[in-house]
Amino acid sequence: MIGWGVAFSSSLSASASGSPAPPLGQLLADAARGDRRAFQRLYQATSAKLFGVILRICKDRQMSEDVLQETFLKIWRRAETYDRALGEPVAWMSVIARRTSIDALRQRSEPRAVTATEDFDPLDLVADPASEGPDGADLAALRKCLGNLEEEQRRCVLLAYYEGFSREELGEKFGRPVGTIKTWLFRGLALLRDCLDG
Amino acid sequence: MAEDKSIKAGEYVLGTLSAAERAVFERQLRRDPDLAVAVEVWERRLGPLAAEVEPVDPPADLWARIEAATASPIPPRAAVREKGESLLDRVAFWRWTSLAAGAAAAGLAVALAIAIIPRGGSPEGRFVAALQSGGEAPPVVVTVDLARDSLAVRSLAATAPAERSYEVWYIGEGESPRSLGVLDEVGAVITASLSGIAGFRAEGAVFAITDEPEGGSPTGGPTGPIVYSGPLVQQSL
Repeated sequence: MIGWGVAFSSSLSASASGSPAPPLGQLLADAARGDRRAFQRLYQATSAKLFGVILRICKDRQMSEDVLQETFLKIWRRAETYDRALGEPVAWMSVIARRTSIDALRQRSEPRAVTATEDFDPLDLVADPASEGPDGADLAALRKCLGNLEEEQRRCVLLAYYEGFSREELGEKFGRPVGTIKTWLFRGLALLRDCLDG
Repeated sequence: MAEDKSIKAGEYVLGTLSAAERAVFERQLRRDPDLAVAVEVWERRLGPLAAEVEPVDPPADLWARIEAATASPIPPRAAVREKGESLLDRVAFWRWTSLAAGAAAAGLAVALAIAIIPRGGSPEGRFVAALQSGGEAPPVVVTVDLARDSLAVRSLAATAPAERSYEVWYIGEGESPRSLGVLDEVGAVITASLSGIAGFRAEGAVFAITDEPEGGSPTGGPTGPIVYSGPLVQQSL
């Protein structure tokens, strides 16, 4: 099984300032015992990261704020279920943020315009050489395996992950029937899984 | 694991399933530990991607909103189930109580959940009969075994309408309803450990079943009418 979450630690350290903050795992454990101060510090250390993830998926600013609020309420209530074996704290929190975003998005009745974040090419994110470093081993493996996918398969996977595109929205974006998108996703995910687990 | 199942878990994590498919998948997820593992593994496979997203500062007043929302007299607690809690809990609770009052006034709520608290003895040697007019089986039986730290909710005659789900709620005295899962057909059973229900207290506990969209309430709190409800009573020996 591949590890995960290591890359988060490096990207987070930049947002921490002032006195050395306790490790996020400690803050989460303290919050689980009802320590509001620890929960606030956890928020200060991670909210920008999670808001970035949420905003990219939801697009709408008001909706993103509501989703961030709901995400932190879930974190507060579920803090005691966090287990180190589930990965780095911020990776665990990102999973909650993404899931809450997607739930909110799919429950909306009105369709949204399928425009990706301005000037956003998902490939840039994973192809950015600056992100390669001693902490980027997981991402390096993922990038290598994404490279095995057909162009359309890779773009579908990345647009869905980063931008929250549904199959229908992907179909609209690529001008292809939903059935084709389903096939691309199926093949893309199968290739990715086999490559990462292999 | 079947190929389809693994990929479906991947699509769930990716987020490409529709709202209806997500609800059905989450329902399967609660019943199928293999599927839950598949989801966790996909989160790990794709997780490094999220680390690449640029941070964006949220508005300064958002923390105050969150702090106010967490300032409830109820301390934080572990989720009983993924759907068992949401920021709407408090709101939903009040809506739920008014629904309950309305249903009772209209004589609609069939209060027939039977709950017993057996103490000691082997489960094989334990029986319960819930008597009802007309010789019908009681729709739902809830058993709570303090000694074994276990709770079971069994449908004997309750079947949710097509494309709807019956969601079971534990309501501690003075607390908001907490979801125990969905119970859609005759023979279905929900089991849980009491220690997994943070702060569980048998005294004053009430169980209720509401009619919800397929897969369970979308908000985490009850949204539909109460179909069955009943208090937890101690079995006298």
